[in-house]
Amino acid sequence: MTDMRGAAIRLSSVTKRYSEHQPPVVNDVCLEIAAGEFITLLGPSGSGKSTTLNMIAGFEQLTAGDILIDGVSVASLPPYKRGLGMVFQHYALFPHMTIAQNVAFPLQQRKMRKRDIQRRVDDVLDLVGLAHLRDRLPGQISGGQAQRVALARAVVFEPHVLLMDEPLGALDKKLREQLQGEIARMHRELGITFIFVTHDQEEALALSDRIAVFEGGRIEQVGTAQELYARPASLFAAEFLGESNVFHGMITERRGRVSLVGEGFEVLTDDGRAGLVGTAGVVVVRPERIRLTVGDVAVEHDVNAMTATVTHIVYQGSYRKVAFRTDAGTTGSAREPAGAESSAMPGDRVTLCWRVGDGVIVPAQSVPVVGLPGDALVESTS
Amino acid sequence: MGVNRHANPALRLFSVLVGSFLIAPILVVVPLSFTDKDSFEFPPRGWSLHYYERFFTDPAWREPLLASLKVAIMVTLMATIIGTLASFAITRSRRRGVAVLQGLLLAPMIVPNVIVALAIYTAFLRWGLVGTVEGLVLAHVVLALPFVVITVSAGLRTLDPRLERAAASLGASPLATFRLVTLPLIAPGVMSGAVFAFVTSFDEAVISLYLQSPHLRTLPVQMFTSVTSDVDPTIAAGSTVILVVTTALILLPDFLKRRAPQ
Amino acid sequence: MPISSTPIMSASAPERPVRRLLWLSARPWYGVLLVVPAVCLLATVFAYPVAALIWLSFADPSLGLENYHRLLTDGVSLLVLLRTLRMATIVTLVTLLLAYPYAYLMTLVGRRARSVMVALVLLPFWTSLMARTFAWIVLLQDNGPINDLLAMVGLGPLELAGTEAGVTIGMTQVLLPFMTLPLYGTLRTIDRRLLDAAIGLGARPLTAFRRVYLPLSMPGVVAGAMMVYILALGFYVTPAMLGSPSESMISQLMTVRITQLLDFGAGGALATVLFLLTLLLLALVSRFLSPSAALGMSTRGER
Repeated sequence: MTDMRGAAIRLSSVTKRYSEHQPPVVNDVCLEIAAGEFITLLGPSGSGKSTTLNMIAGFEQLTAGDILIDGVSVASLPPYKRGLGMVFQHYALFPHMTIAQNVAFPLQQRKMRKRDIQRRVDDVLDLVGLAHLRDRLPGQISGGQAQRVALARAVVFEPHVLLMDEPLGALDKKLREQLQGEIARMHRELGITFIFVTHDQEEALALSDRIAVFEGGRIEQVGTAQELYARPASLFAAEFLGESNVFHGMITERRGRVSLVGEGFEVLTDDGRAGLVGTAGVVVVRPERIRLTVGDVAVEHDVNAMTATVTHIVYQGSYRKVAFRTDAGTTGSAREPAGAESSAMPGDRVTLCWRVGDGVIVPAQSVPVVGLPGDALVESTS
Repeated sequence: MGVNRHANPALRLFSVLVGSFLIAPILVVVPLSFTDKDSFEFPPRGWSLHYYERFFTDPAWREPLLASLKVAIMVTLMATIIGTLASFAITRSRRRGVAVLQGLLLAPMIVPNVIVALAIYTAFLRWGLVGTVEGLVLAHVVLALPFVVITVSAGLRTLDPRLERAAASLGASPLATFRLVTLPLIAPGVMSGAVFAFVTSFDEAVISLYLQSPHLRTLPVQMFTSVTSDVDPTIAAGSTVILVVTTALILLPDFLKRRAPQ
Repeated sequence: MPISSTPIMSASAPERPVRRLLWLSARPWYGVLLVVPAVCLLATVFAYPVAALIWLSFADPSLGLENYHRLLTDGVSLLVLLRTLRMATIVTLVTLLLAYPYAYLMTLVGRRARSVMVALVLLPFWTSLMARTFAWIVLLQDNGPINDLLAMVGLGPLELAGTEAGVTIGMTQVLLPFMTLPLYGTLRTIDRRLLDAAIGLGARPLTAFRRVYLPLSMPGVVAGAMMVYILALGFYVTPAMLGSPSESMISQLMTVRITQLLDFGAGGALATVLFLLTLLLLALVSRFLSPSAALGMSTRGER
């Protein structure tokens, strides 16, 4: 493919409201997407991510706000004038056209010469490795093949932006991983901006330059996968991406250090978010950051320690998950890579240790702090 | 299946009788059309194609046949186009008035035909449309419209909306999307709507009876007149022709669908 | 180029929808406007004429209820109306009696037998009404096949052509599909294991049928019966061809009043009564099933 480049996209206070009486589906979303970036809109269903994508594509009107592509407002352009490629859930291949005709469709709409169309279609079908299926109908090919055709069709006219709405949702796990690789490769080769919508956090982590986490029509956090994982901005972001150990309490400041005081325990952090001091808060610690030692252990400087009882252990092949209940009542888990396990067994008294820098403070938000501060372990995988 | 023990012989015999009752008219009309006698004697004693020849050559039958075909073709075109447009409006709009519109579109099917026919006759008397092809076509379109609306809306409701979005995202204007994606995909529904419209008009008797004139007499009207005035087995030949043609038309969309790929 | 560079407007004013420009983009190609030709046609050639005819019943020859007074007192209209109601009732009952066992057997037999049974119902559905009614003239004539059959079992000859009995037989055959199809549609959704369960619980087969199967089949019975009843009330061609003028039905009386006597008021009054009866029955049906289902099933009325 020749000379393709991505376009920069700016969502400015984009809001979508279907009725005056209901809360907005998308509420004041602001997002800057750089040219050539691979960004994923991640969130549970109903979080507004698909509606946002549809507004970028032009299928939904904005109630307020604006969408700019390379600095130009497209909010009042119909979808067919926006020139964005799009891959739909369940492929949306035209069932009455052959694979080649499907791929040729956007080129015909652009009044390209027949010979050029033929060549481009051949090129792009080669790119996705489906040249031999060109005269089949969509009903005669597999789901994975259909997804590749949908991709080919969406990029054959060299759009500057490719939108993808849960494109892999209908495929099984193995095929999904394989196609993830192809999508990543296409992004590298085409160099255009990809906007990818999914509810699958693993997919988001595997593909994206940056991830925007949606919840309740708003963006909770935008950042790279590492940033989101290491420094979640909210409890929702922490729990939606990966597993977390969650400690509820009051955020206080003592000797220049921010700490969380819960019922019967205190957790130190070096998180500098002083603005939260004096409010109810949560400390999030990822399971692989927690080190288990059977029995008591001498506490080092800058390390949090907490005693707990091992409740059960799950083997996951390359690691094992040790579930525990702290003496203060919080349940959680630690992850121990194979070959570096502790000797902890169910029923053992253990000491949990993690470095002060490994805990992240986030506001407690609507999550009730009082009552049982346990049961916050969210298993968002699987 | 399996639970055949409930299907006792009496039930089977009864159903065979009901089936015979359903099919009896056809079993009578077809043989009678080949009679060589000038009577409705059944079963006929001798056979001939005389009444088929007469049906296609005698102006008293040929003219009505041609008039019916002409009216039915015009009705099919009008009803299919108007009905398809209307189906788009009612299936695609989220506005509140749509249910009312839908009710209006289907109403000619619910109001007893004789009322519609007499009402139209009364209005057409004043408008000078009695005995005109235009009047008859308009009246038949009213009766045919609900069938087109039902079949085409059914097709539109099962159409994946993503396909039209996909076309738009690929640069197709609304018109191009309609021409290249929507229309080919709802074609079977439009097709059966058209067949319904044709058969509705071709077989319509009540309005045609009221609106007839010496110059405008459709086949059903001629059949009605023939039966009520004299004994002429040509009507059997005509009935058989209609039976064959309508059955073929009804089966046509189904046949095409089966022939089409996927 | 893919991205059009026409900056139409910057919709930065919050909560001020850019809808005016956008109605073309979100639901672009099918405005509700597409219904306009159909609505214009139906308004002028359907709604207005029907409304006008109803109006004439109150206004022709003079404003008032005179036509309805005449309807009740002219000694004919009321008689014909009652006869029509009676005929419609008989036809409905007979079609139900014939269709119920037939539709029930349809749910029991194998696929091939069932498709034959469906074809037997659909074929007359599609056969020209004129052709079918003509066939009944042949079948019912004094020396016709039916009387031959009756003679073989030592009955008859019966006078069928030109009698109420003949009209009833013809209408029953014409309307039988309208009863059979909705009935079959309901019966096939009934889980037969419920019958086995009832029998397993000690009910005798007939009791199980009456207490379990019959109540579950009622929606189909109601839908089919109402459909047949409504269609039978307005039947014109079959009674006109098979019956005698002295035993006419309401549609025939209306036709004579309007097309021959040009008495639009009296004809309109009859039409109004028939119209109200139909609406009443439809309202009853819609209590049992959704209007669209009721309509969807009547794919072909009399014409």
